[in-house]
Amino acid sequence: MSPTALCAYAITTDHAPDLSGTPAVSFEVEPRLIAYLGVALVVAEVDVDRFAGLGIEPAEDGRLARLAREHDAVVRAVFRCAPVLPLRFGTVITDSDAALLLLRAHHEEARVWLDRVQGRREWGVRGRGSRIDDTTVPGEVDLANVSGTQYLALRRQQLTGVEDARRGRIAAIRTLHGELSRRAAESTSRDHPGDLLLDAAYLVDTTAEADFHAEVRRLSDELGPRGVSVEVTGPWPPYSFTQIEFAVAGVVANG
Amino acid sequence: MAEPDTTSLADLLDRVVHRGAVVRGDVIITLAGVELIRLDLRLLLIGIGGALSDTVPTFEELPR
Repeated sequence: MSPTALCAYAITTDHAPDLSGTPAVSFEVEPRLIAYLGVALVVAEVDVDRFAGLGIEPAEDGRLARLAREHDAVVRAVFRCAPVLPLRFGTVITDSDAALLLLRAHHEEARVWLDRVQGRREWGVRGRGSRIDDTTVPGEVDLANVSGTQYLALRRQQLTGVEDARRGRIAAIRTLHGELSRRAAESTSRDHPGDLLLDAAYLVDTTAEADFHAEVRRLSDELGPRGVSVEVTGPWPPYSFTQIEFAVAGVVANG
Repeated sequence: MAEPDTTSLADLLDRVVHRGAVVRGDVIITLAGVELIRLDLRLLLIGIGGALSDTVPTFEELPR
């Protein structure tokens, strides 16, 4: 038997439902709440070595995938009925004394953050561009019938066309991010390599979701002809909007 | 509402592993001063960077 510890999944309010009483939820772990002055930590007892030696394959049926999905499922079970601050995957604390130490130190801060995400859900939006092909901009020409000078002029025109298309895309993507941010309580976007033109997340009031998605559809239709496809993921618990660090000082007796 | 099982693994790991609130301090279980999971995930994410394409954080971005 390896020693046990508490895996912590999220912070929520102390009136979140008792998870053990949720019939639709079944996990390998048994999540429960440890409450303190209005907030609660969602925890489950786990073997300490549960997270050790995770395999290096991202396989759908791998151990990492299973554990990550379980983490998400526990967070979502709470998220369905109460505001949550998801904790990062693999937050393993020593015991319930440690949980109380954490809550005692940060309950006020946690409550402020919980108010901030209450009644809101996260949506991910990505814009992906197809390659702008300089031989198809601005159009097909029979090169056999053009002079050297004409060819160079044509080539310049093609390159300008590529540059225009690229600028048009960037402007359209900025409009998309701007319009969606206006409809969201908060937004965040990240640097994006390669063909990704936008990788953003929006924290949206549930009452504003219809408007938000109508705008996504409207602007996606405009981006389509520019060779940009828009993908939406969600709803997510507010993973991207809880970039908080809870530092806990004090030594916990490790029994 | 999208069910967790239909969510792409890359999107899921991106959020679950890379985002969310962090707890630091003596309450966290560590092995030789390094958090259990970070130790493995740092190695792990280097290994799967290619397979998960652009949504995986780089080594430098990972929490320590």
